Amino acid sequence: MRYTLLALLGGMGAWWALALWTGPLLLPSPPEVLTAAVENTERLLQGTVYTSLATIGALGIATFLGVAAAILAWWSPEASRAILPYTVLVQVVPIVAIAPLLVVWLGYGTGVATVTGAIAAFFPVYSACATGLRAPSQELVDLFALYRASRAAELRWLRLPAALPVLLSGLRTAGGLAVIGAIVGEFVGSNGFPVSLGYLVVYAARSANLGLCFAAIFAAALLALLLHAGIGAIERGAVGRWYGR
Amino acid sequence: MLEAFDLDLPRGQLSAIVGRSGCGKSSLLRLLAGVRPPDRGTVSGVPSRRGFVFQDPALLPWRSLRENVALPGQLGVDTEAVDAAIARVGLADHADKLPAELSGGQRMRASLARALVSRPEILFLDEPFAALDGATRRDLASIVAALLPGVTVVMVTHDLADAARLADRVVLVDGPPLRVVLDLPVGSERPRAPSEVAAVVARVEAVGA
Repeated sequence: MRYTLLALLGGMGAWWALALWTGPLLLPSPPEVLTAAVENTERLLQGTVYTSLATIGALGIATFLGVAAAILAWWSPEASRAILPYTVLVQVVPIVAIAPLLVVWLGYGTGVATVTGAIAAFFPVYSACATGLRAPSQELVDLFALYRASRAAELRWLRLPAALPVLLSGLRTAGGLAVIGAIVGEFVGSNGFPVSLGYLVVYAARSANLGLCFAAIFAAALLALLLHAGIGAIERGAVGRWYGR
Repeated sequence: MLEAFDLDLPRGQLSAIVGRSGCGKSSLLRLLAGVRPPDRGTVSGVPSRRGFVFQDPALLPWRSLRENVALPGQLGVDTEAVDAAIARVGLADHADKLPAELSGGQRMRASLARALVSRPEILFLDEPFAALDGATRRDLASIVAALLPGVTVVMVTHDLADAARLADRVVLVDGPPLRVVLDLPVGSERPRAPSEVAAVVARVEAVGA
């Protein structure tokens, strides 16, 4: 903890020194970012709320689709092979490249950021859930076979609960990616009505208001951090007890 | 792994299957229990009410002891009262605990309770004592011995002394392909004198060596 704090303070000091050397047109100093944040509090808050909603929506969609695809892949080897190219495609397709297309289809506003966020978050959720469903030991699988359990019962009583810890740690990764995906979507798909963090970053950079640009970046980072910490707390609360932690 | 294999499992007796590791005795047990289907052919003559205790307790970590023992009932198996099964293994005071809150020996007993709740006619034990210390081992062994002769027990173990202490019959197998090398009746009186146990161990070792 002490070293983390020291490193943060050191980084802040280095930033400040660099900012004094370059001047505010290239790099704003910490107080300049703070001033910009105070001057634009309303827009920043609005943007944070909007981007948070898009991110949470994106995570929800990614979780639903990722878990559904993972269950399907476990249920049937044929389905597993059939969805493989699509899961890979979703992972490798550059979001930046398809965001303009999404604007054509969905128009400016909430939709684009939610979809790009969901695309970014899908793969870690799917892959964590698929791994988690295969997590139970051979003994537990044999136990369910002994009692002639149906596949549905095996899924419900064994596979899904066993997948939960892995899924939650996948969700922590997916949370950060959903923020990135949503912001990329907002670069392209938001025109300032309503204000989003992605829009603020682009707008502030164009108008050479680097203080605001930094403030919006920090707000986005804070959002990702909070998501990470929140999912981590759920993980410890729900799953930690199972393993005596 | 095994072909046209015939094995006597006398009703109400404890048969211990011993043999070096890797000879296929665990696979045999799973085949008999119907946990794994045979590649070809059929397994016949095994009663349909079966219990299985694995080397690992194999409890669901998100369920309390009581909910773990209730699992067979949830899966549609006809069971006795869950709390009665828990009481039979002496864990009545721990029924609401999660497996992580139980000791290794308690977890193994919980696993036994889950096997017993379905009122098995035949109980399969796969190295049930392997991970336990001496006292817990004797504890669990006496619970198993008390089930006889109401339940037929088949126990796989690599520990010849455990087999000689507990079993009515010791079956030495070798493989693969799996075959019976020795089928030795021991008797049904328990506990056994150490000299008697040593005599059984010596007889099996004489054949196995």
